[in-house]
Amino acid sequence: MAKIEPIQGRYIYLTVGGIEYRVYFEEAGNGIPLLLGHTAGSDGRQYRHLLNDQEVTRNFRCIVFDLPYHGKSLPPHGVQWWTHEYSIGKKFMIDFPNTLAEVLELKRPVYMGSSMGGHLAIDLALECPERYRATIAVEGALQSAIEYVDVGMANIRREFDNPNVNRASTGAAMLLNISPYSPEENVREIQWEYSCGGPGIFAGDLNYYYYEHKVSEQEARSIDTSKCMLYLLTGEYDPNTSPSETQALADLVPGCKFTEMKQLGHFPVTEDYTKFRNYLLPILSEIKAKSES
Amino acid sequence: MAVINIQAFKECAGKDPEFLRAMRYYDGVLRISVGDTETYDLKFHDGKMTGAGPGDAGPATIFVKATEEQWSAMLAEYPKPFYHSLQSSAVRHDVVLSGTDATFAYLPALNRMMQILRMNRKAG
Repeated sequence: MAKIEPIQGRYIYLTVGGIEYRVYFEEAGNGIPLLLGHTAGSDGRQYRHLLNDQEVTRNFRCIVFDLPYHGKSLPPHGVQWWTHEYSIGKKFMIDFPNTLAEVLELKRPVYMGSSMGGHLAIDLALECPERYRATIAVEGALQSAIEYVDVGMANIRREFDNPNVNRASTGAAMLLNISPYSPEENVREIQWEYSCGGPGIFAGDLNYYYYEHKVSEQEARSIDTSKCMLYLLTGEYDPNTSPSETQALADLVPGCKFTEMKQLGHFPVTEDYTKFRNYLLPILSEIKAKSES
Repeated sequence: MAVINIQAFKECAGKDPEFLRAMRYYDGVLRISVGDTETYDLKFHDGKMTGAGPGDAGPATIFVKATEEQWSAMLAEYPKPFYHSLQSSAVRHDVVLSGTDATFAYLPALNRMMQILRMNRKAG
């Protein structure tokens, strides 16, 4: 008997910022829509364990997208993208899941994202709480750790968008974000995914991750968790957005819930899903209960 | 016991398929320093390790410098945050790591080097 996973992949056309993109997405499950955003420079493959988790998919319609230029979402036709240096900004990051939710006619979905997708969960809760019933920021904060922000885009491109350095090194660099408790095969899978990225895409994504995502203390205080609940999950071994950085955000947002995840790093969804789900499932249960009340 | 056993590393690295492949085409020195007085040079020609021993004053394209305490922290079986990789140790704990193109290009080899050093330390 064939061994087939219950994941379906399709392409959808989305127009964002006046440009039409052919976007790849995968989905599994039924129920409350749950949009899933990947990390910078990677793609939706990161969520393969979650899409196979029946405890999630029995109540949630899980939809994982590859941002344009990532995974199976090719660069758009009709745009001479090869004449520009790729860089992603906050407006596009917000508009993209909003447009996907509109086109799929999702009714107040949940959004969960990791790393730059985690920062986005905070921006969505702040900028458009009416669109989402809850957002879950995995490795999110007011801003990424200042030690990395201070590196600057020129040095980021020197490391991650350098003709002298091949993509295997981008994968290797991700070790800095991964807990030493992670199973070796998962570490290598994360590194493989990062080694597969398009040229300059990871560096361009970091423009949002390090610079355009910057939530002020005043903005954080204004997040209305009665409209859109904000959950925060951060791994103990994430040097880019450490638990202390997330705690600084949590201290400002009335009603949000923050949990530090022990023995996990910046990629908890892939590093060790068996550990990550212990933190995720109670959140999803709470969202389901609130949705039914 | 010294925190780095360079001869044990040379023996293990010299027959480690991942390390050998990751160092392909490298010409030059990979220098490891423990504090200000203990330095080791791993010398390569066209990706082949041609020597491993006490360092000299010559140039090194790739280098790692850390105190004995920092090396001990990095080589623990389960390092504390954020001693778990060379790069996070550099940014969060002030370990000195070169920032040359070669450092980035040979990061897969440096990661494997740390794994081998960690295994050697555990084995004693």
